[in-house]
Amino acid sequence: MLAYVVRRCAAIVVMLIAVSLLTYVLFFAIPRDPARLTCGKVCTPELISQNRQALGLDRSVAVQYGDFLKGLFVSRDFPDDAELKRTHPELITHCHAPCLGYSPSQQTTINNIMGRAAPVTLSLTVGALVLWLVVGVGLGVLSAVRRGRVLDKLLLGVSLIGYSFPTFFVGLILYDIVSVKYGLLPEPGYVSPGSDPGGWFTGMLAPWITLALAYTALYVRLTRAKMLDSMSGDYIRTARAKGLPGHRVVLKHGLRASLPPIITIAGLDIAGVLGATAITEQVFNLNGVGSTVIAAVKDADLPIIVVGVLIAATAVVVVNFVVDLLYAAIDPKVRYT
Amino acid sequence: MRLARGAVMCLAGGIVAVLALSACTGKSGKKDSAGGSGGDQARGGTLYLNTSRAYTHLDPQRNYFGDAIEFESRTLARTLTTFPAAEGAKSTEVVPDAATDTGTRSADAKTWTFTLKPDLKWQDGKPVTCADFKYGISRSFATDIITSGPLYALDYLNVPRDSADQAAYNGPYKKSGQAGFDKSIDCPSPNKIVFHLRHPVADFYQTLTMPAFAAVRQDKDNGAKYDSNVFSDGPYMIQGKWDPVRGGTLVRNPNWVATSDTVRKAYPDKIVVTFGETADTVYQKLESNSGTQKNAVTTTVAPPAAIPTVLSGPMQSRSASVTDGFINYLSVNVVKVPDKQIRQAIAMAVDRNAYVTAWGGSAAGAPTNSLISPLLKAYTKYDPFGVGDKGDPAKAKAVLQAAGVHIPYPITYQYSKDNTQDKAAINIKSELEAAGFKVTLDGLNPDTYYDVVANPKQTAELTWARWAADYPSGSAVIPPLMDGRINISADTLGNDQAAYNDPSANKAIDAALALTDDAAQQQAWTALDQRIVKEGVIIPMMADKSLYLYGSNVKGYLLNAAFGGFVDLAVVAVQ
Repeated sequence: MLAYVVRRCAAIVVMLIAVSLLTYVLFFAIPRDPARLTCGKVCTPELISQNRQALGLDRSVAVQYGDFLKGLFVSRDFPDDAELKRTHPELITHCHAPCLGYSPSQQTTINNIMGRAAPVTLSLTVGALVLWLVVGVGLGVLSAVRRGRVLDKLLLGVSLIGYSFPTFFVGLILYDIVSVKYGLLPEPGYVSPGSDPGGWFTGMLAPWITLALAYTALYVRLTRAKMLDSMSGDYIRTARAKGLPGHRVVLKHGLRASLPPIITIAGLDIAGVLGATAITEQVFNLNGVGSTVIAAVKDADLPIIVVGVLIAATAVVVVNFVVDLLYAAIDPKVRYT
Repeated sequence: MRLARGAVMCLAGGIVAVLALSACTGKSGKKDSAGGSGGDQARGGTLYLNTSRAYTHLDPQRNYFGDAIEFESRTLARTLTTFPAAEGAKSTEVVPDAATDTGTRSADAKTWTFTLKPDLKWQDGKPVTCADFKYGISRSFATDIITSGPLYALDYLNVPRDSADQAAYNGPYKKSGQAGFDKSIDCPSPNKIVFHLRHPVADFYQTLTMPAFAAVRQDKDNGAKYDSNVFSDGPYMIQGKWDPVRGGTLVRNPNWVATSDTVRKAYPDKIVVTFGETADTVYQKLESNSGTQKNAVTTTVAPPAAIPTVLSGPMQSRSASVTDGFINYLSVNVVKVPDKQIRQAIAMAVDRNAYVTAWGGSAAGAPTNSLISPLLKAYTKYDPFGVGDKGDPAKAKAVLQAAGVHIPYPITYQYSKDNTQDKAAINIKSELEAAGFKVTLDGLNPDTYYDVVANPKQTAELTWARWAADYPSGSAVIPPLMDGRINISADTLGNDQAAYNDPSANKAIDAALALTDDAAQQQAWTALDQRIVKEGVIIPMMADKSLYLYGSNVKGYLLNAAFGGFVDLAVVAVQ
């Protein structure tokens, strides 16, 4: 098992290096000059070349990538200008290791930018996850218990509709009509849960609903299917025959047996949901990782793009890894060597 | 006034989209250059400014976007001269701001002297002096740290030049060449400032309206980080820290002396700025006119979906439109199409009326034949080929045939792709094909549009662009767009998409710049404008308009054309 974990971790590191390197190479292949963006509308060739140098873009892709990797282990200074350090040290931005880089468009370190953006995306993802698991699984159980009845058909129908709506559409409806026009939901926005838990909850409610809706619909159907499967098992009949109350049969025996595959899929969805958060963040004007990276693409801000891609890639590979490990924990037939 | 290509490039999507957004099928904006309700404004209250696009920079020396320039000029940074809060072309008549007048110039227009008003104060109560202006302007030279700003100071001030004819001074941080710079701006006393220019600049008093020429206190300067904590000498100051992505809140600067300021009324107690909401959301909220939205204004142009609503019914009284100083134009690349007759045939064939209709009709703009905005003195109405706004494909075809080329003559038209521009491009294609051309349409990604068309290897025969002058003078249109010497290098055409680098035109530009009489200089720009249009190098299409909505509590609403048609925060009130 230990050898397996070590092997997987090494593979993850190699994969992340490959992803970041690929991002660098692709960035420099696009027909866009970040140095051109640093000067105003009357931009002389001399100025462009001077700023290319100031941004370090005149050096080879390999050297720039090497600096990025080095920053993960030793601190860096921006701009790395010996003369300026001597004459005006207060103008230098110091970035402690692990230093993720410096954004020329936002003039601060990526650590600062992502430090601000990550809690927003984390709040959004975790809140939506809780919402879709609780509501999705709950309604799925209800649907299974009421199989074939009106409620079951209604839930299946509604979940199909919910699943069919794209996130950006639900988000716009919730924001423009429900929140803005009729004021039925509080004005969306992010405040730190530490400083204002109530404001955090009400501000994130509409984004959570938006992000969770499609997943909720999926989990209703998934839970229902798994529940129907497990509820037809012999042990359920035995439990009923022994005179256990209905809710205990359903929750303790039926649901419990259905949960492992649901948890496995939820794990994979957490990684996948990062893509959807970008849309939700854009719609609700939340400055999370997704919208930060989208803005960086427009500004040709490579350091943010690289770290954004790395965060997404890390989430996917790490969660996949954890899910693989969970398999071993849940299913005794699975053994890693 | 401003917002332009460098800016557009940064977010080609943004500004180009703003344009596209003007596309509507509506009637004309109800009030051109809307006047305020006048007279009954009072101090107090909170004004909310919701804007889709974040200001790229708030550091005065880096600020080069029209909306951000207007915002900063009216709230945080006073300049020696500024634009008055007035309607239409009147707003371009420069008035004194921090200075007592619009300057005293020497006969050769190379020395300009200003006296600072008494009672100019920083937010900590210390007086604003000549040294502060000098220090602020010196920051423009640190082009590796103070990036993205205008370069007028580098070009105009009489600082020694290096072997590459660049200013031999690299700003106040590294100080190489400091002594040379120090001679270019004199401070004979704390309230007197004397500029020494390297060549005559007849409209220098207009250049000085830009925040790039604002004062910065040396002890408050933190280089590239100054964007977040601009130290104010205007009527407001930043509360806490400014967030370049989200915005921030301005409160009153207790040390601003109202009597020292003839332009800013500073009615609201507080201004809350929010960036990042989509244009649709900004307008949904403004339409709802509920809660804080009653006190809200925006610098985001009405999106197509909102225009019919804004222009009809009860909301009409809360809307205004303005000719914003932008010109939509086409460039014909003279390297790819060296024959003047072919270029002229293109210019004769296009239908400006159809073009304006594609952009949304009279709410979006008006046909023009000048690269210079109708707001400027250098503008004159002009019909170079006697074909009117409608164009004449038959006449164009005759000219093309006379050029003796094989018909159909193939050309490619590149434009920044969106629904509006697609519509306009289809019109242009059919008009040109009626005149004997074979047109390939190449709609490009708005995010990288200006990079592609400025690349000599990628640019096409015919390309689209949009421009507004930095300040109301032909000097801010013709040289930056048409002087090949400052634009063209091996790997870029700069702003000169036509690759125009005509020695005799360049000579005429130099002669115009050397003129010491402002009126004569504007006439020279008119002549150059007409020459370039007549040669079929530039095909001006439309003088743009912008439409906005505002909350019902907002009083004295005014769109200032001189700043690019954005809401004038100097006179807006919410009480």
